[in-house]
Amino acid sequence: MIIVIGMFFGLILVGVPIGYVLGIAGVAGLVQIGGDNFLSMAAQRFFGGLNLFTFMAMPFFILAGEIMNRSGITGRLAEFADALVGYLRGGLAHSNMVASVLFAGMTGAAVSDAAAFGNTLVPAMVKKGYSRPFACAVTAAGSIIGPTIPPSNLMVIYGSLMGVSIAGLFAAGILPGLLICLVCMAVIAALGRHLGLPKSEEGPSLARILTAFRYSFLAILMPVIILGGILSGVVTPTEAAAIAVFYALFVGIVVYRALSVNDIIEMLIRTSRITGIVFLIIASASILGWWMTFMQIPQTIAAWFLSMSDDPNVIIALILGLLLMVGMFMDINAALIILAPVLAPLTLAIGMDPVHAGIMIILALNISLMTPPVGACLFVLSSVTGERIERISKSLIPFLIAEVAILVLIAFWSDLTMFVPRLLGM
Amino acid sequence: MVKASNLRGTMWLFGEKLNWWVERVCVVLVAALVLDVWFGIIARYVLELGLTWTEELARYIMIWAALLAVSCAAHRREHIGLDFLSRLLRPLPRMILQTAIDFLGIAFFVFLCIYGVGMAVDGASQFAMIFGMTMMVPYASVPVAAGLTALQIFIAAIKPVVETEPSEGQSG
Amino acid sequence: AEKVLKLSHLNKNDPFDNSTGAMATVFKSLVESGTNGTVKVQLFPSGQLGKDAEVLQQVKAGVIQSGIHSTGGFSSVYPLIGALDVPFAFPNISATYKVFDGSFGKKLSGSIESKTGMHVLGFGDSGGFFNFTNSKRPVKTLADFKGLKIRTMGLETHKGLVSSLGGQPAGIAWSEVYTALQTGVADGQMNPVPIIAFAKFNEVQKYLTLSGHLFTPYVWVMNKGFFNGLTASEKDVVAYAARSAITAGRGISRIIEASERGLPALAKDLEVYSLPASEKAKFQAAALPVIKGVIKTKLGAEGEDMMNAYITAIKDATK
Ligand code: NA
Ligand code: NA
Repeated sequence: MIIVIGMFFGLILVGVPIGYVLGIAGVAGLVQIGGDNFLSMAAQRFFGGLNLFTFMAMPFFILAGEIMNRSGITGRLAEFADALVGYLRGGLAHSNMVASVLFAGMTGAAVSDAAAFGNTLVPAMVKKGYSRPFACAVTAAGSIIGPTIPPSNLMVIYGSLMGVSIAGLFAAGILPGLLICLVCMAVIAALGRHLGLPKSEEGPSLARILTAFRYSFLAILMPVIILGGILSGVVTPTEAAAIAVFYALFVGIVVYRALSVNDIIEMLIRTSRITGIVFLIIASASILGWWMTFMQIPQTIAAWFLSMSDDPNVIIALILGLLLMVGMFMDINAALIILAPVLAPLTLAIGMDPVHAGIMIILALNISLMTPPVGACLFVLSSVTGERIERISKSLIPFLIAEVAILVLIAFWSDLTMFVPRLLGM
Repeated sequence: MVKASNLRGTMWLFGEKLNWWVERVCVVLVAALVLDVWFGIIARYVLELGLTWTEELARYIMIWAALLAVSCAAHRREHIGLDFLSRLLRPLPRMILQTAIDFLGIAFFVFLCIYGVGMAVDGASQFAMIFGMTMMVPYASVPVAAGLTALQIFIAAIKPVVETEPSEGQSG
Repeated sequence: AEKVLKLSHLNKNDPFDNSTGAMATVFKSLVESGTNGTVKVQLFPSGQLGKDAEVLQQVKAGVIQSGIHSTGGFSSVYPLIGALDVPFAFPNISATYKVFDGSFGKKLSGSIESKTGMHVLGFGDSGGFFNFTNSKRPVKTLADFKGLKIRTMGLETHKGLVSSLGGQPAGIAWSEVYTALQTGVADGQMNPVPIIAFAKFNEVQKYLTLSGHLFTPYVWVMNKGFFNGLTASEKDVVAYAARSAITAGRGISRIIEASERGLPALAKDLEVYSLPASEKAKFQAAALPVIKGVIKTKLGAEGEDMMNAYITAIKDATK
């Protein structure tokens, strides 16, 4: 086990692509168990790790983003946002955060959010003078709002696994999701001058907003249509990403007449390549994740960690510390299935409400997607924008601190989470 | 431009050509994926056809497309990793490091290809829920993609023109 | 040396929570005590090691030694299991025990062993009969069912069942069913009571119709090489431990159904209606010929033979 973990960090630090490292470390683990039948598990897990319908939202949102960029939809949306808040320092960064809240109704996973915004808002922000690492960091920070505000894939898994009301979890996620948005906006505001974030010369004017609104009307309609499609029961959240592709293509080809056949071929190639980069990481992580599950490593570490203290505060701190690391080694859906049954009883024993504990565990896992050096949201952003992981990570630090602080607040202040569910009588 | 006067040049041109074709296959697959999911929505919501195969078919197309594209990204050296160490190195050690990394990558994908063939063969006796199809069809994506990726890493490793410097924020 | 038996099952390990949890923990306890620890049982709950069909491959390859599987997953290696999807076949739950413990169970085990090369330990209770829930209207007659969009697995027999009753089958990934039912992508779905409760569908559905239209057992298999490598007395222990575990699984399923976590809990959110025998007969008249046709065309003569043996066994069991 030490060999595999040492190998994992060693190979990452010398610069072996992450998608290779996860697979190589996983295979090393299988070799250690020994036997040809165990080696054959590598191929099975590589395939099985991808065999999940909800992953499909990622390629679709990447493709939709490609189409929106080339057909000018993104540009128009950015113009509108600029007219609304561009006069504020870091206005576009703020609107990125607000957009994450709106987008939260359309997605159940942080990586989909990172794929969609990384491919659209990051280039738009760069165009307006933001540094790319900062734009990526804002997007990464905002991506965890998606799975915190309903719908949320992890909440569905947690609810059915642990016998907790899913409707209750959905309701409980709303306030924490909004809080993440507000706190990240506060970080942007606080850092704005220090980082020299852009600010447009023009002041706010109703005329400019109206012009921009008319100019970008079809683009603004896009989220309305997608959200409408979900809420009215036409599509599931994953399928909604395919609706986004449809609408963007329609507007791009029929209305704006901005797309040629060659454009479309190029966009499909780029979509498949980015998807390939990210999916290689997911598939390889599934090899390592299976090995860890088979060796019962997460449970063993959790048990060892939690045997260290009886103090409720220390236990919560240890749980959070454990969860924040998990995203390094495995897919968080798999991690939740393994760890929730180990951790939830402890939270119950120290008197936490099951819904409250669920929100805390889910949020911590989602944050683990962007803790450097290994996390799926970082990889998605790196591959869609071409920015280096190191630079994104560095820009992300203040946001990460803020979000961990929110996580701690949520852990220790139950009313914050439980307010909405209680209000709704759940 | 690379001259095709020697073996390495020929290999590189072959890699380019191969990649061109694989990319076109990916285009067809991603387009098929999009159409499949659209059709699934229309069949359920508008036509009320009562189909259940679109979801499973979509998963398999998605996996084929994404895994084939792994080789395309390998061809362009786009697979992401931390590169601060190689940035610190001088050209020669950097080249040695890069070669070692490529070697590891090739070893991994060759391994995956070999065991993927075994899985695909076993898949002949497993059944998907759609069309009475055997799992050999989706499973074959692993050995095919892994084989192509190993080959493209090798070709990129022996690429004639010295161009292995990591570029600042490359994008496709 | 000590033999390790790794057992995968689909739910939580808690024996009071669900039937596979009960089966697995009872089995572990009986095997470890019965063999004086020469066979150690290690449990992998909640499908941690992969999808059901993938874990089956792990059992086959000897990566793990045993698994308790749903018929949906099991159909990937043994499509003939679809022959059990005869709609409205059982008059009551007690008959299922007799059928799967009796000569039909032996016939099915024999067929599975010869086709898949895995040893069958028995057939567990997956939570009783399948029932329909929906958010549109109470289903009391066949006419009420018409036009409902019902989420099903991709199995031909399940699809065929829904459409033969006048509903529209909808294929939705399991991970999205809750949200799909909430927003109305599908009007309803079908599952046994414990699964409806477990997946919290009562939060997003209004009506539960106790239709009892299907019974799908859990199929419990063991790697053949591992089983053959056990001593005669260890084999005995494994066999009786599995039998007792299956009994425990059935018991906990019935207890859950009857207790706070089953029907009484669902009845707080859902309007529950139990189809009377007369109405069930009408449902069956609509569905049975269609499903028999599906089984014939999809599974051939072997499937038909298995189906007929099943129907006969049920008749005998309820005499
Ligand atoms: Na969401
Ligand atoms: Na992480």
